Amino acid sequence: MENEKKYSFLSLVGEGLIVVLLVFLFVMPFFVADLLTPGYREEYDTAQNRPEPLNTISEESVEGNQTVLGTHSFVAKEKVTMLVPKTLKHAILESYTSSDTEGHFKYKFVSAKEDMVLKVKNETSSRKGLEVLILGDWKGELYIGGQLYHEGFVFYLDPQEDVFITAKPASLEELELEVAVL
Amino acid sequence: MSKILVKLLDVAVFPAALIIAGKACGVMLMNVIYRLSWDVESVTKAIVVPHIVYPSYDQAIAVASYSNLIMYIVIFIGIAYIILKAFYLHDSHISPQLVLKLARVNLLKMVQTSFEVYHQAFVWFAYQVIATIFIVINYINNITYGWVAISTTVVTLLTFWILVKDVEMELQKKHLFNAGKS
Repeated sequence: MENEKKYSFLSLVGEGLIVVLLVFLFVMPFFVADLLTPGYREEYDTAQNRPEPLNTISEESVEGNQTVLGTHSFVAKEKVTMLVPKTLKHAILESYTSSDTEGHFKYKFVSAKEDMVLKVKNETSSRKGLEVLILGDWKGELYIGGQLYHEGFVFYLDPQEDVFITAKPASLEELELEVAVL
Repeated sequence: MSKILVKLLDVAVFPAALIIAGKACGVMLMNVIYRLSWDVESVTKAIVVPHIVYPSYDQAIAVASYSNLIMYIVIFIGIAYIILKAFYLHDSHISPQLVLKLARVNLLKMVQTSFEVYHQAFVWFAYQVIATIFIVINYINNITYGWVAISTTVVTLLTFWILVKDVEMELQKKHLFNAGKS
């Protein structure tokens, strides 16, 4: 009699465990599917959500064939400006600092489809020129004045010499530029 | 211990693995076909979990919708196979000609009992219903296209109707059999 009771109790526990396991089996695949359901970075999705660049001449202008979003004048006294194409939806200026002699730009790329062409408009006159330094880890291709970027690459510009920086991002990437007047 | 529970547990493992594989393959396929750039971010829900992110909402909804559709198609292939077995290889209403053909090629083990067929049908249909609910919730959360939610709901209802037809056939045969006995 006692053995029977013990057996029915164990059987009940076993059945309970199977029910729990069954519920887990029915729920688990959809929990994983939910994890695999992608999201998006809302802050980069619309032009309105892009942060306003600092020190910007807000009016849109046309520079050659390139429509520019704004001109970031990062070395005020020497009038060195950074031109960012308006057509690029997924590149934003994330941070910006400047002093009299140097400016530090951090761009964030969120689309591998679009190449980004930045123009460093160099209007320095009284000094020797400009030094363009790439910071951070860049996985895609990056050309400065037609030359392929590699680690530690520093590009020097003569006074009044402009340069195009073409960035082909490999994935979601960041580009940090430091520009200093020599 | 309940035979039914053990059988359900036995047949629920394989579709659970297939659902996860279907969803993961769907996401990977979309990334490869459209060459999308993506990133993995840690999202804090109840626990910190990795989450795939895309640069834009359009990309995220496309990947989510098509991966959900592929996951659903995987489940549908499974239930379609069970329905075919229920209609043509069910021991209660299999045609004598087919039994003869199967016996000739030594494939009589393909004929299945109601116990086998209905447990499998229950499990696959339960997964199909949960997948439909999952897709509809995704649609409500604006992360799946409306046509995916509507078409999966319609197909699920159709499947339900076909399964009911098979059960009706089974009950009819049983009724005739019992009437013949008495």
